[in-house]
Amino acid sequence: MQTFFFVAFPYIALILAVGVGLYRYFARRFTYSSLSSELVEKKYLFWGSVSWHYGITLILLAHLLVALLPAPSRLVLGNHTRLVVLELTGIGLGLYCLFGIVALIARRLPNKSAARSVTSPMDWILLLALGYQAFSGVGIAMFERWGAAWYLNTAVPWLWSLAILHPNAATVTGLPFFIQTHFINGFLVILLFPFTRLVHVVSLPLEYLWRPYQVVIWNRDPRRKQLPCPCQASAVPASAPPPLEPTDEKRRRSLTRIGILVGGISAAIVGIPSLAFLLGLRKAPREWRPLGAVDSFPVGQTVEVSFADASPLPWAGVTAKTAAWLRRDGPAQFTAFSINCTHLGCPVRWLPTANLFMCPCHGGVFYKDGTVASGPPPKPLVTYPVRLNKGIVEILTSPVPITTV
Amino acid sequence: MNVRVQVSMVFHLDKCIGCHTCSLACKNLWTSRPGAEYMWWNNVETKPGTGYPTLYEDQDEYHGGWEVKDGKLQLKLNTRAGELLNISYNPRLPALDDYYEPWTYSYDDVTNAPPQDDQPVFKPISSVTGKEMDIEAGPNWDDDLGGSGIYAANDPNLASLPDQQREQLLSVERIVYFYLPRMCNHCVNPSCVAACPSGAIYKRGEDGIVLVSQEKCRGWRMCVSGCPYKKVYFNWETGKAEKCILCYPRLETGQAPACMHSCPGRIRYLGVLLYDADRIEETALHADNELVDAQREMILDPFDPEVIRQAKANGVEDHVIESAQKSPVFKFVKKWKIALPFHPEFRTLPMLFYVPPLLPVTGTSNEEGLYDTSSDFFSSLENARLPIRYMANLFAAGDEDQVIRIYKKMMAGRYFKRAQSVGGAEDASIAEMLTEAATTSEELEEIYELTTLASFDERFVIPPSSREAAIELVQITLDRQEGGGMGFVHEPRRGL
Repeated sequence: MQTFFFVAFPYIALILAVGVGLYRYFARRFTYSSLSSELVEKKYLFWGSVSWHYGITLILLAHLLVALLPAPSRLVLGNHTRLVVLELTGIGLGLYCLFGIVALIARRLPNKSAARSVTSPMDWILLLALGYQAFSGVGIAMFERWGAAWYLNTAVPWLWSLAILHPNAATVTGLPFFIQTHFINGFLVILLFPFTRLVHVVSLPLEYLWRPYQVVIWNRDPRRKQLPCPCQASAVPASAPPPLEPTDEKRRRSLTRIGILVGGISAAIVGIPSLAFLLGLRKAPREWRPLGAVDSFPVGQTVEVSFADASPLPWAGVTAKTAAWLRRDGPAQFTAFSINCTHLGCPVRWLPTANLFMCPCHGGVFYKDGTVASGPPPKPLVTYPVRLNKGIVEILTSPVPITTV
Repeated sequence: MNVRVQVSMVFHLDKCIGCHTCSLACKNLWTSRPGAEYMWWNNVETKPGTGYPTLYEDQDEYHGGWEVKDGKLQLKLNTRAGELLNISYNPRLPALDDYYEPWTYSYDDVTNAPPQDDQPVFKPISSVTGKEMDIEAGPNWDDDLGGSGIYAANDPNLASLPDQQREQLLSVERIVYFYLPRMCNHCVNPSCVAACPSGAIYKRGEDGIVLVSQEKCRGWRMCVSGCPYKKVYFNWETGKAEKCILCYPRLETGQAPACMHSCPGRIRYLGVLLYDADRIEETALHADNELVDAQREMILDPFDPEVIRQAKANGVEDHVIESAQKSPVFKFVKKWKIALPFHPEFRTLPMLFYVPPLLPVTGTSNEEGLYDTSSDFFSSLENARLPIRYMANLFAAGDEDQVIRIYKKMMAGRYFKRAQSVGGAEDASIAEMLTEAATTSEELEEIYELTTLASFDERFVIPPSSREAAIELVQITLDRQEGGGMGFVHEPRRGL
């Protein structure tokens, strides 16, 4: 079930969004519209539409920016003050959005409202989906603190694994159900995109900023040679002018064909690997990585070790490195703990004086052996397999630093 | 010189009887379908009045048209970036109540009524919500000065009149009004086109008709605010903008547009004008009082050999040039100079022209209730019943001289023909009058011919179209009434 919601469903949503969106654009372009209801109801629209559009644009940009640039985001969010400021801004914008969408829904509700009469069933579905997305987003920001930080360790690796067609939902399957609904509903909105008025998002007319004010369209080339007047037909020489090509008609037809072709290719690019994954053809690579000579680890001590991820993204930079806590229990006995808290994936810290692992985000505490001492974590810390190979300690990587398996 | 062609029109307001036949012909042909019920691509207003949508001429409210800022032409609506920032909510959009809420009646209540003691009645049903409604406004709610205390008194064009004149206009004995048929002006410098973020509105190069591409329109609604005449409408059913298409499917098949064809008063004239597209911006930049003359300058003389040469170089066909020479619009606008554009100060260079009505034949009455009947031919103009200032606000950006010149010529024509048919005037005084009106007896004869005796083919000189080249021509647009004739391939119903 989790595989369906976090692997298959996102791909289904994306394929439909791109495929149907393109089909609708090329075959039924007349239906592309923002379908404004401002003409029939203006008063409440102001409060709803302005709050919603400005709020959601900024929130969405923040989500995208962090997902697209994980490494710089990690640096920015590493500072506590900055994190607090960004989190508060996020909550503020989220509430602004939520207010907007509630107003947008409320203005369509009254039975006699003109806005209600121009609302289609798909509009209601879309409004509910967007409303839930704003509601769950604000809820997460309020009750699952420091989302800006744990988003990087949970959702972002998952989204990247989807993007590079190497899907791995391990980082999100263990998250609280409420957070998961935000993810699933997010892809539901993407799925709804081509079937609702949401298509207006992709027609934001930025071109307006530089195009000339006036638009003049000629149905035929104005500088073209003059056609002979029918009344002078007898005067026309035998070599009549070449027949006019209906170039625009031709261009329209070939553009439609190109559109279908591009749509098909995109669908194939996205669709074939995801199908392959579902059929179990692809396996995540796991590799042994050296951590250092056995003698460099004193017995009984727990130290932070870093090693390269088995399948890093080409542009991951410093984030291609992952970390673990390594303890030498005896001359040839090692234990490696995942650095990620099993609650929401924040990096835990080893406090030697207390003999405990502590999570800074929501106060999760683990005993020396990795079992939960207190706080929200549902499971003990994950351990990695460790082996000795010719005097070198080696650790078996996992595709992404996972928390809960 | 960049010669372009414009299909243009003249309304002879003296002949308009306010019967609304043009509006109905248009409505039946194009806008009787869901989402378009409230639209009147062509409507006839009573002036003075606030018009439709109400107070549309008040650009402090609606910000339509252009303004000159730092010597440059700018949309009054907003900057380009400002428009995009306002795209989710357009503060300058008129609401449905500024037009009126369209309605029908629950006819079934009457036709299917069971036998009963009381007479069955039907109730008004809103076309938007489908529910019962109270009718608070309707098309031509202020027809023939109905509710003039509210409507006529608030006409924005009266604002610059002296208080005394304004009061006179509303007093019962002196009340006066005329009709103003209005439709899209198919401007040469259209601000709706410039305001459209999607680039969906365009001017056809071949004939200057301004159209909305229904495929490209995304319903951002900026054109509605951008047009100072409020002649672009938002269809709440399809989520697209719609406007007068100058009946191009009819024009391209050699028929007059429906509004003109149906006009019982024969007030409308249609023909081709040639104009210089290189001079558009320069013309629109002129000061208010020079705008009318500048626009006349921009319109070219189709008999000038240089103009003909340049037109041909631009691909204008011989038979189009020929129809430009026969164009009745050219005669009214450029040759006789008795037709004026509507609100030239909006700087869109509107290409529909109006011959102002001669209704104030008798001047304002004096305190004893007597009319001024002095022998001076044109004396009554100065204290005309409908102030010249008002007409100048409508048709000449406040330049009274433009209107006076036209009235003198028209009154000279009237006296001249009257002297011819019933006598009573000396030749010398007629000659004196012609000089004062800066006209000749030949010109007045010509005006008389075209105004009163012209046949259909003289009133409508429709340029032949090139079927083999036009694209919009060959689309099937009339396959069903609901097709709207706008080149829809699909049913004009809203998307999901």
